[in-house]
Amino acid sequence: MMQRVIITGSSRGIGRHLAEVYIARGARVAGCSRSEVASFHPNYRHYVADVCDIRSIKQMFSAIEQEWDGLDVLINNAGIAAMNHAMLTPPDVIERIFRTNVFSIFSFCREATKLMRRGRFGRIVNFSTVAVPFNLEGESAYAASKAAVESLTRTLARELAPFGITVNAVGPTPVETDLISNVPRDKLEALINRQAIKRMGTVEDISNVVTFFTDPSSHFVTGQIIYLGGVS
Amino acid sequence: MTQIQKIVLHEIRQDKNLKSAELGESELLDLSLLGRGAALDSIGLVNLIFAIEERIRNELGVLIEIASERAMSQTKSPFRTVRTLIDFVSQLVDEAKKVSSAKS
Repeated sequence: MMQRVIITGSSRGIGRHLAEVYIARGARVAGCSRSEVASFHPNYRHYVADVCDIRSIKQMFSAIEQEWDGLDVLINNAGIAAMNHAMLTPPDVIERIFRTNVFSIFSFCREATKLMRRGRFGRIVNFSTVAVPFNLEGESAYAASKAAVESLTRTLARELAPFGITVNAVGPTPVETDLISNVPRDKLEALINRQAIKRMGTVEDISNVVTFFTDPSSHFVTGQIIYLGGVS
Repeated sequence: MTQIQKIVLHEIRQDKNLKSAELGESELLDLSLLGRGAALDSIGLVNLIFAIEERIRNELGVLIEIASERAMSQTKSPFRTVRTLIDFVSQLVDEAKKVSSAKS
């Protein structure tokens, strides 16, 4: 049976790559972003939705439910970052980061669970970052939001297990995407030097872990955070 | 019996943990859902809420959110008994209908 997959933040970068990977594996994919994106495949459907707006999320899930009558996989990829010293990070920036990176996951997981529980099967994958175990200076708000995502992942793993739903997270190293385009090169190199495997990550490194988590045979794997690059 | 009552009672009867099969209608309305001596655990409550929301949407065309801040912050929980749950759901449906007719 074709997997039915939702990927947030699928207009570009890692989200777009994941959409292509799942389409290539024969899945039906619903992606979303704030901007309109042309469908690149008949099995891909794009929704214009703000992950922070519960009404647009509900509308998207309602449309997906009518079309698919269930859901197998949710990949909470959408996220934002702000690199700055904690003393120079205004409260509204912190709030925006938490709305996008944490609160939206609550809403997506909740709506996804409603659909997944029908088939007593579901796979949810969240995104953390190596900035959490590294306690990176200059990323306090971003890392704190991702630490919250890790905690949420572990708790949801327990709460959703009775529904046959697993919840895991991947913690990528820096990858060449827009999210890190403003990070100075020397800072990136210093970060990479702290990894066991000293190189930038690739989108393929990430999809390798994500597809492992979402595989039907990974039914005994839940509440796990896998960091890339040998970070622990 | 209202449509909302029918929906809620039907979903209650679907839940085997509640052992509602042998109960008459009035006993069923007074059945304790949460709290001491209640048959529902948190997973049971989640399943019940999702099922009711889904049927209200499918059969009445109204979107409601039962597990709202309002429900959780009430001094007397709407999940005390089947009767209080029906009252709460009816209230939510009425309000949702008013909002949607005001928009149109």
